[in-house]
Amino acid sequence: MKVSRLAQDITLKELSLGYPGNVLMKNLNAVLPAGKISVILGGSGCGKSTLLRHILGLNVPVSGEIFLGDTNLTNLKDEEELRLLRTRMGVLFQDGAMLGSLTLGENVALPMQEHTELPDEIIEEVVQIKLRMVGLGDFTHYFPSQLSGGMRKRAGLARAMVMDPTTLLCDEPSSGLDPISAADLDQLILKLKETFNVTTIVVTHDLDSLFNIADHVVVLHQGRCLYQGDLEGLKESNDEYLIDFLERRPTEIDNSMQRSVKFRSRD
Amino acid sequence: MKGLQVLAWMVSRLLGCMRLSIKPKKSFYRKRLYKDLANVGADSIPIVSVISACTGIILALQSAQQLEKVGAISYVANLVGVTIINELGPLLTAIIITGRSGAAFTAEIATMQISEEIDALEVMGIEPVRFLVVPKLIAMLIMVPCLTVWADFVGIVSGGLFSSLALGINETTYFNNTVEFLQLRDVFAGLVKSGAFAVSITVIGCWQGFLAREGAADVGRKTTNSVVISIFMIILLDLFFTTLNFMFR
Ligand SMILES: Nc1ncnc2c1ncn2[C@@H]1O[C@H](COP(=O)(O)OP(=O)(O)O)[C@@H](O)[C@H]1O
Ligand SMILES: [Mg+2]
Repeated sequence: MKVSRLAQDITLKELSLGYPGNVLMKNLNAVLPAGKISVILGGSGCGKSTLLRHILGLNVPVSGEIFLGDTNLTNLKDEEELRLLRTRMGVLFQDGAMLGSLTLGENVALPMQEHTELPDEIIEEVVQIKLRMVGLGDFTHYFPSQLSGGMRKRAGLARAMVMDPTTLLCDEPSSGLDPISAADLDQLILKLKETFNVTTIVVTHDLDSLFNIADHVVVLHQGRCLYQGDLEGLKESNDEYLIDFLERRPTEIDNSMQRSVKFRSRD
Repeated sequence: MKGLQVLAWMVSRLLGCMRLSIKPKKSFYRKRLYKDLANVGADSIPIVSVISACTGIILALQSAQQLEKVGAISYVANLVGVTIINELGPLLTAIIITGRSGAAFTAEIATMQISEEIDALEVMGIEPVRFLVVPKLIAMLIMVPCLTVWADFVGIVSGGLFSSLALGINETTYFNNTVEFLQLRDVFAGLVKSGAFAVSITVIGCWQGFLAREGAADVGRKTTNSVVISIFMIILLDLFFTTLNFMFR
């Protein structure tokens, strides 16, 4: 079994997911197109991070399947194939998830040291290039705790991109950032997509970010897919909930979600 | 239930790693091993020394008190030596290491677990057990027996010095008695025991760390658990080995 080096679609088929006694999504169907930025929009706690964990194979779905191209990610038996697939996927976790005991440089070098036999000098140079790409060229020897939240997330992007993945998954890149850092990060994600043609999936509840970067939108609400398509279609949609959501108007349906959208996107 | 699942997961991965680690290791695994060796070993020497010195003196005092009654005070050396080598050296070292290193392992892994660092390792294709647990286990297997030998030595020497200074026992007699009475077999049994303690402290510490789930408060809870369970296991193992040793005298 070969693992492709080209960007591929990610397809969710009749996917149901959740935790024991708590089904978060039911029979989700979606295609996240290759080489595009797909934004998955949903309120806090609706299971966005959980969906990403399923795509990464960290959790097993209740039912349904996830495909990367033609490869079914949900029943990979072969450890080696899973390992290979993971080197083709970059992930930016919600708070960056940089290892606190290592410097930025060591963090970014880690995947290359594990998966390649390259000599240390070459790895060092690649790491330097990746860190410069996210604007952290001067911070190689800093520890994650010495950086701001935005810098940690950019470092997380550098680490996600170090193996030149074909798929990039970002969990709420703009959460917890000031509007300028958030916009910077959005620009960076756009630039990465354009430069490396990665299939990018961004999970967020941030509307500014949505309109900045999305090629494709999936809106999740109460365990199902409310809308799927491009931005124009989203703006023209006459689904009541979607209109309220886009205008950030508090609704009866889900006040808590509205609150989080309003505050989180501004903090 | 969850706890047992995570334990089984960790142990099976550990066993998997044993096959792997025969292959040449990458430099960053070696670097982690050196760090853990220093953390577990070198940094524990002061506290282990102080505690075993005190223990040696306490034992000398206690046994002198009893032996004086039967007029056999020169046997202090034998009692101190036997008790330290067979029992207190390995036991106290293990308990100190539980507090120092076992708790640190749990806190480290638990913190990584709640900040998604473990998940990050997994998706980078780096086996978290191999990256985190294996170096700790090797470091503990090397360092805990070494520290035990050191604790034995310090305990016996301090007991001897104290006896000669305060109890008026001739120090040459003390050390001659000790050497004469000591059996290599006892030292060896102590080392086997301390190796078992090392494995148990590491497995329990890391296991509790991986179990952390809901937020920072859980780090504290799991660290407490780790220490309590480890000490309990150490005592059980000690009972087991002492019984075994007794049966095959
Ligand atoms: N490990 C877990 N075990 C059980 N329930 C969980 C776990 N992780 C998250 N949840 C629950 O799943 C829901 C969705 O979580 P999450 O995917 O993190 O949401 P989001 O990222 O959209 O904010 C939450 O209600 C949370 O309580
Ligand atoms: Mg989340």
